[in-house]
Amino acid sequence: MTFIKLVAATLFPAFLTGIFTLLERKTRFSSWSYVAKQIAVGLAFGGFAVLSTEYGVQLNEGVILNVRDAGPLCAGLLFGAPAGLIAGTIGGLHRWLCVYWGGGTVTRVACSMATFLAGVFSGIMRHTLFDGKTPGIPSAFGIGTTMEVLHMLLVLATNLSDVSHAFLFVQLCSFPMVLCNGIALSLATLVHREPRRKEKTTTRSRNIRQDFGFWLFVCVVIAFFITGSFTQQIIYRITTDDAKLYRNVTLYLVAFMEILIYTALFILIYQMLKKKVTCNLERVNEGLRSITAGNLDTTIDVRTYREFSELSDDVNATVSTLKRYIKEAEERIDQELEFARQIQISALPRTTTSRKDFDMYASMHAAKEVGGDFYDFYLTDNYTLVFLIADVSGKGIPAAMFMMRAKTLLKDSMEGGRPIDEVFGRTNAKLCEGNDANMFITAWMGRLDLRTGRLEYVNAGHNPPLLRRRGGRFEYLRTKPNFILAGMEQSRYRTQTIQLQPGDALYLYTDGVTEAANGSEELFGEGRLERMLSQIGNDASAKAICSNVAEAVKAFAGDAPQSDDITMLCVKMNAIQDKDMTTTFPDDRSFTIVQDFLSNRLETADTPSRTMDRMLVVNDEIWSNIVHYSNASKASLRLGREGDVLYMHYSDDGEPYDPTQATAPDTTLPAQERQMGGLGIHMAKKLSSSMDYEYKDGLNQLKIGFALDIKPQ
Amino acid sequence: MELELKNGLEGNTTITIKGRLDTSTAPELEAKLDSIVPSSKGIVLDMKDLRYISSAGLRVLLKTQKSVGGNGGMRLVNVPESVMEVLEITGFSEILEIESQTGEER
Repeated sequence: MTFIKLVAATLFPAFLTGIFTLLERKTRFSSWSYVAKQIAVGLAFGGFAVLSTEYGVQLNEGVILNVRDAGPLCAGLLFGAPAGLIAGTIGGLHRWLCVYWGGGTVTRVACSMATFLAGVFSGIMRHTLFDGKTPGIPSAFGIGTTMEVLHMLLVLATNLSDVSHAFLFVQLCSFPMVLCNGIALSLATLVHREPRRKEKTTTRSRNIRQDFGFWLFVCVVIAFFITGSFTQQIIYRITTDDAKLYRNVTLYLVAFMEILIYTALFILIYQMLKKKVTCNLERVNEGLRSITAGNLDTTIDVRTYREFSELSDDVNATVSTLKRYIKEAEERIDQELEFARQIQISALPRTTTSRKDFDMYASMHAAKEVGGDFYDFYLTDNYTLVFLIADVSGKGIPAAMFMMRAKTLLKDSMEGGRPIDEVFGRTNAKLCEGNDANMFITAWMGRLDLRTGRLEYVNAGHNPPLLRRRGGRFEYLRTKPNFILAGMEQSRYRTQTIQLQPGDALYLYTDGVTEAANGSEELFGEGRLERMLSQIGNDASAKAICSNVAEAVKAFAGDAPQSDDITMLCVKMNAIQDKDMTTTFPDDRSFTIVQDFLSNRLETADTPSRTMDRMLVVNDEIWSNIVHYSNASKASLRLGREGDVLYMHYSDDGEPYDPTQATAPDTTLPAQERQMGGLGIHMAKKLSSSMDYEYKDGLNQLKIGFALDIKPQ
Repeated sequence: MELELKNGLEGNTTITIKGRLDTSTAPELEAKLDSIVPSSKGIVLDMKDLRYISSAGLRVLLKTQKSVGGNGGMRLVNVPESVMEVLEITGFSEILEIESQTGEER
């Protein structure tokens, strides 16, 4: 019966702990505030201490065994210092007062103090030794037993005047109570522990602290048993009865003191090790983790001891050396990339070409990294303009090398006037050979016949260009593209054809334009490009069109870094021109186109200067008539010769007007009465030798002749 | 076309016109004359290097002739044959004071 009661009392703290652990994990108890929880736990374990006192196990001679101290110990060690304090206070106070209803008086002071101290001691251990975490089973056992040893020491210390009575208590109780409290606390700890996790998080190796703790513990235990067995020997050397009692008391006192001192020593050394070594190592490791994660600007600055100071300095020195090497390597690579970019850019033609019949501009704003965009344009003969824009997949040196190869292949394949679909086919086949890096190219190439305005083009997977008809808006020239270059060896390419008119403009670009991103990851986009281009006036040159787009993209991107090359090319058709004919949009700028055409042709034909001057004057009169009064959208001048007569043949789609029927102005009036109207046509008639007009096929047709050796009319 | 200006001793201004005087270049001469005429005591247009003149050029001459009538007048000097031909066809030779390239006073 006695035994069962003791076992039940020993198991009770574990049971109580189990209940709180379940409440915490499964119920709304977990949402209680910290203070409320501490009070609840404190009250429960305080209650346990009270029950322990009331229902202790009676031994003979009035000695009562109990596990009262286990209550505050559990509360403080497993749940927190405040709970321990509350439980200890309740248990201690009750023990003090229970004397009035039959409690023992001999151990009154010692038991009350011990119960209170159990609450305080366990709370302190929880916070200093275990950082608020649940301790291991051996530690819990050690704390439980140490507390009871202190309890026994107090019993002796508070009854030195009646030591024989007190010693009776101690002799009977010490072993079972020390053991029971130790076991009770261990069981409670076992119940309270988190379920063991299956995977171990970092590493299985013990840390310094655990290892050190274990060996320290072993040393303490061995030291205790050596001194214990030594004092045991003394017991049998002294025999007188009186002396025997004092001897026994002294031995118990010594043994208890030893345990307490060793425990204090253990805690002290353990704590020092933790504070001085482990914590500093943690700080060094934290810094190293940050460095490993790539933050090379981290410095380690642990200055508590010389050893850690030196370790910090060494780590910092290593990192800074590493940084210097990385920087040097980066600089070297940057420099080589810069050379590569310069070679790449110098391989492209001059950005602008402007002639009377066409106007061409190309630009490439390379991203920081050398990229694979390129453009090209050249005249294969005086009347054929070839232009292309392309984008190699990927970036860096590989893309740049592939780009150079592609550019050379494309140009070489153009020789011999090969059709452009074949040019792409040949280039594709050659690029596919040995394309181990699986790079590819999107490209758009056009061949423009400047005599007819006929544009042949072939598109290998490239973004559609934008075309603006004279007086209209830029619109995407969407035609089904062919497959990319260098993708598949058997790819076939198809040529498409459109007719360009004077004043038409074609804008080509790479995805660096439409995929330029601003700070909020928004793309410039095709829609914005179309709207932006449509705001540019019809008179803007090819260069102005490109610069406007480049500025708009720059303004859009703001501070966001440029991730891709921004490449564009614009061709503007000014006039369709062959040897003997020029066709253009009749506007103010067309005067120079037509006059230059005329004087160049007449000079190469060795026309007498007198005739030539007359023809130039007449042309100025007729052309200004067309520009200012006809509302024509297209006008052309063709030169011809029949025998000894040179002809200028004008044709325009403006309102019908017959200059041969114009009335001559009065050329005899005094200056103040003179008017300019009709004077130009009058001059044209007088300076030429013939003038014939007809309206045919919706066109004004005017033929003006100049006899080479005959004076004007 | 190029224009060269020289101020004479009697407050008159000589403008030498080189090249073509037509629709594209006449506005330049017109602007130049507009800025000179109000303060000038006579304009001399030296045409020795003028290649040809079209009605656009004639319009500028007529406008100037009308505005400088009582202000020292306008005189054309060193007029080449091709220009003279145009002036004659249009009757401008009757209303302008002209000295031809050969030095002959008309």
